[in-house]
Amino acid sequence: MVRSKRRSYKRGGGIFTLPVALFLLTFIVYPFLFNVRLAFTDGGGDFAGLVNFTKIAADKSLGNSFGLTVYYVVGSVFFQMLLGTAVGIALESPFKGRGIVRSLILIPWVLPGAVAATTWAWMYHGDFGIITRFLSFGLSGERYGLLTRPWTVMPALIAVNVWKMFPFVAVMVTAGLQSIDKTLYEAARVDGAGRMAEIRYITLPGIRHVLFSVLLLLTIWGFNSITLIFIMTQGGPADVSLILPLHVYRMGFMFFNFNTAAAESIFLFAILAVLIAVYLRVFTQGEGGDE
Amino acid sequence: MSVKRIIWPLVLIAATTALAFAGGGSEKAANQPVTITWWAPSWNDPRSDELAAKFMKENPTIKVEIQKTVGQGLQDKILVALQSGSGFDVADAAVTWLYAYASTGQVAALDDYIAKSKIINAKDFWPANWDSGLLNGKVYSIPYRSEAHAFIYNKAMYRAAGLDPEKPPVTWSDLLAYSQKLTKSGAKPVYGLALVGGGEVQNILYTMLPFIWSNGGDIVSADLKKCTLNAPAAVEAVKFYTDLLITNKVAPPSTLQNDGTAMRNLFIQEVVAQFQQGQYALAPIHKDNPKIELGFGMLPVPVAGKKPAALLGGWSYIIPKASKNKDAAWKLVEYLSKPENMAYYTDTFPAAMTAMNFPRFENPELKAFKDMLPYIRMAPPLKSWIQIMSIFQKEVQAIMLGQKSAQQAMDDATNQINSLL
Amino acid sequence: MKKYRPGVMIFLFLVCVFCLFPFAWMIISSIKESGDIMSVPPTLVPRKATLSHYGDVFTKSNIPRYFVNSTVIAAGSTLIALAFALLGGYGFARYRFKGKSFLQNAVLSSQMLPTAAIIVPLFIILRSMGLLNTYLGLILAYLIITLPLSVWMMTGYFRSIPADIEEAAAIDGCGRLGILVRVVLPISIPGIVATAIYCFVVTWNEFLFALSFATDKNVMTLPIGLAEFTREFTIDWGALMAASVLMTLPIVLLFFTLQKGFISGLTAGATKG
Repeated sequence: MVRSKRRSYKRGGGIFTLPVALFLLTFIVYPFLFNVRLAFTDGGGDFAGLVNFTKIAADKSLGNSFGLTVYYVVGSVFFQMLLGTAVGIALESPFKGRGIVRSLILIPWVLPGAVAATTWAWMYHGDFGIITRFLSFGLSGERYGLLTRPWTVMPALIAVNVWKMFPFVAVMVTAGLQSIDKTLYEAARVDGAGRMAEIRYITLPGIRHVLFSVLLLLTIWGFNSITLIFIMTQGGPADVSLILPLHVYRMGFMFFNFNTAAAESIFLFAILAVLIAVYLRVFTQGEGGDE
Repeated sequence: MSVKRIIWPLVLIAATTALAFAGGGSEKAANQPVTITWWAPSWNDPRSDELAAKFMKENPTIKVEIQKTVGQGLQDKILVALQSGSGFDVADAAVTWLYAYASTGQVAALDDYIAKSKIINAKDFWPANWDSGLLNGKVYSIPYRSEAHAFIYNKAMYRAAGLDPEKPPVTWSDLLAYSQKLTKSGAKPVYGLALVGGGEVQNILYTMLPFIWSNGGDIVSADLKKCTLNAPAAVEAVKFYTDLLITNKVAPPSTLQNDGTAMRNLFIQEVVAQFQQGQYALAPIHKDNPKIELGFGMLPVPVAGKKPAALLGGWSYIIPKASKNKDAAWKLVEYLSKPENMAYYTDTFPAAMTAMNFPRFENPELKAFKDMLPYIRMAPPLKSWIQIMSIFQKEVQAIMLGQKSAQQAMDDATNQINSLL
Repeated sequence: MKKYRPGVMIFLFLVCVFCLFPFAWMIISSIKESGDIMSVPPTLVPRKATLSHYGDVFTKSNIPRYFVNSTVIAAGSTLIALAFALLGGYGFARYRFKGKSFLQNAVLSSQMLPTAAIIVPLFIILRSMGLLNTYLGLILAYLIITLPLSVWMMTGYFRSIPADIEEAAAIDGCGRLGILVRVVLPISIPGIVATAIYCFVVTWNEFLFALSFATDKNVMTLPIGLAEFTREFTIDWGALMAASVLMTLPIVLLFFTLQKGFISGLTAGATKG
C-alpha cells in the first residue's frame, strides 16, 4: 500500500521546531534589517533613498569583482563537489586502514583557516615557497611565484579553496551513503551491473539530497568567503583576485564606507537569493510540496 | 607597519544610536577607589605590568586591570568598544588609527587635562606624533612611541661587490648603482634591494612615500582637496621605484607578494643586500642570522642636498568619552608619559624629544633611526585615506605587472582619488 | 563492493598526499630552528631538528589553558546543537505545518549572513545577560553559527530515511518521541556523526566571537592563542606551526573514533512487511 511519505500532523510539528526557530530569528532578522537600514541612509544617518545603490552601480570595480566571484565560486565548487564525492564513494569499500585514511583526509578542513592560508601563501612564495621550488625544478630563469602572475593567481587560490573544503563534502557524502539500502546493490549485481553503473543508478541518486544541500552550502560559503583570499593576496595584485565579498569587506571595514558596503552586501545577498531560488526550483522538482 | 588584520572584523555601527550604549552615570569622586581597564598590546608585556604595578603603589586608590590585546583585529576591537560605550578606560592605539577614532566623536578630548598637567606638554613631542592626535584643533590622544624607517644593508655583501661597507648610498643614483653591483644572477640569485609590492596597504606606503616626499611630491595637495599623484615630482619617484623592479631588475621577482616582513626575511636569508625598515627589524635579524654585519644609513634622497623623509609610525594612548573613570585614566596616562616611563615602555623611540636621553637610545645601531626622526611626516588627515592608499597600491601593482606605464597608472590613480576628495 | 580495487587505492593515495603535504610542511617547519624556517631556497629537511618550539608552546604560551577552554566550549556547543538539531530536523522532515517553508528558508538564509554582521547585537545581549567572558556565553553564541546548518543537515538526513520504518514502530504502539529516540536515532548515527564533527570543527576554529566575547585567559580559546604568536612586526613561526599541529591532531583523533559510526544503519529486512 502506498502511503505518502509524510504525515500531516497539525499540531506537534511546531513543538519540535519552535525552539530552533525562535533562537535563530532573533539573531538573523535584526542584523539583516539593520543592514537594510544602513543601505538606505547616508553617513549621517539620514534617509538617502537609492543614493548608495546608484553609487555602486556606477562603480566599475564592482562589475569586475562580480565576474571574478563567478570564476572563483564556479571553479571552487565544481572541484570541491567532484573531488569530495569521488573520495566519499571511494571510501565506501572497506579496506585495511580505511578509518585512518578517512581521518587524515579531514585535515585540510580542520586546519584553522588563517593558518592554512598563511601556510599556502608561504608555499607559493617566489623565494620562500616550497611549491615554487618544485615547479622551477630544473628550469633556469625566473622562479614562478604563482601569486604574482595575473593568470595564475585565481587558479592557485581556487586550488587552496578546493583543498580546504572537499573533506567536508567527503564527510557529508559518506554519511549520506550510509542511508542507501544495501539490498539495491545486491539486486543490481544480480542484474549484472558493473561498478560505474552502480554508482550512476544507485549511489548518486541515493545521495541526491546530500549533494544538493552541499552544493547549495558551498555556493553560499563561496560567495561569502574572505579569509583565504584576504590573507593570501589581499585581493591583488592589482585587484586581480578581488572577489565581491572582499570588495564589500574593504568598503566597510577598511574604508569605513558603511552605507556603501551595506548596499553592496544587499546586492550580494540578492544574487545569492536568486541563485538559491534557481537551485531549489531545479533540484527539488518532484519532491513532495511543503506548502 | 604590518599589524595583521583579522579576516572578518568587527562591525562598526556608524549611524545608529540604538546600539550606542552611552555610559551614563557620573564620574567617581577623586579619592574613592576605582578600577580602570588598560588595553595594552601583548608585545609590551611585561613592561605594562611593571609600570602598572609601580603606578598602583603611588596611587593606592586606583586599581589598574590590564587586558593584553593581540594585534589581529585590534583596530576594529577598539573601534567597536568606542561605539558600544564600554570595554576600556585607556587603550594603546597605532597612530594611523587615531584619525578614524577621533572622528567617531567617542574619544575624550584631553585639552583640559593637558592644560593642568605638569608632565605633558605639546612642545616636548615630535611634531608629527603630536599632530596625529589632533582633530579640529583639539587633542584626542597622547603619543608615547615614535619610529621611522632607515636604510639597512649587509656589509659583507658590500665588500664582496667591491663597495665601501662604511658608505651607504646617499642619492638615488647611488642606490641604483650599488644595487646593480650587488645583484648577481645564477643558480642562487642575489638581489641588491628589497621592495614592497604586496601585503596590506600600509607596507607600500611606508616604503614608497619617502621616495615621493623627498622628491617634493605628495599624494594630495596641501589643502587636501586635490590629488597630486600625476604631478611630475610624484611620477618621477614612482617610476624610479618601479623601474628598480621591472627595468633594472635589482629587486627580487617575488616583490609583488612581499610586505615588510617578507623583505626582512629575504634580508635575513641574504637574498637581498639592502632594504628599508624601522628599528624593530633589528631584533629578528639578530635572532635569526646573528652573523650578518649590519650597516645603517639615512633614506636615500633624489639628489644631494634634498631632505630625506619618512612616514610617521608610532603609538598613542586614548581615553573613551564614555569612560566612567576619566580622571583615573588620565592619571595613568600622565604617569606613563613621564620621560623615564615613556622611555622604558616604548619598543622603539619615545614620542617625546625630552625622553630621548637614556642609555638604551645611545646604541650605535640606532643612530640612523634617530637621525631620521626629525624628518618624519604624518599622513594627511583624510577620512578616505585608506581607500586612497588602496587605489595607490593597486595602480603601483599594475605598473609592476607591466600593465601600465608609471604616468598612466598615476593618471588613473589621480582620477579615482579625486572622486573621493 | 568488497573487491579490492588498485585504481581506487592509487586515487586515495594521491588524495592523501594532496591533503597532507601542507600539513607535512607545517610539521617540518615546526621542528626547524628559527633561522632555518624561512630559508631560501626552502628545504624539506631541517638543518637541525629541534623540539624547542613545542617546548615554547607548552611552557611559554597560553595554549595549554586555551586548549582546556576550547574543549569545554566546543563539546558543550556541539552537544546542545545536536539536541536542537535532532528535534528541529525531525520536525522539518516529518511534519507539515503552517510556516514551515518560511522557517526553513529563514534557517537557510542565516547561512548567508557573515558572522561580522551579528557581533555587536550579540555582544550587547550577552553583556546584558552577564554572560560575557563565560563558557556558557560563548557556547550560546556558537549555537548561532552551528545550529542552522545542523538543523539543515539533520533535516536532510531524516528525509532520506524511509518513513516505513517509523510507521512499523507506530503500529507497534510507540509515541512520537519514542519513535524518534528508539527507532530513528539509532539508524541516524551517520548523520549525527557528520553533524557533530561539523559543529565541533567550526566551534574549535572560530576566532571572531572568541575575540569579542572572551576577555581573560580562563575563557579564551585556541584561535586567540594562535593570534598571540603574531607580535607587532614579527611572527613566531616555529611556535605558530607547532601550536597549529597540536590544535589539529585532537580533532583528527576525535573523528577517527567517531567515524566508526559511519556504518550502514539500514539493512535489508527492516522494512519488510
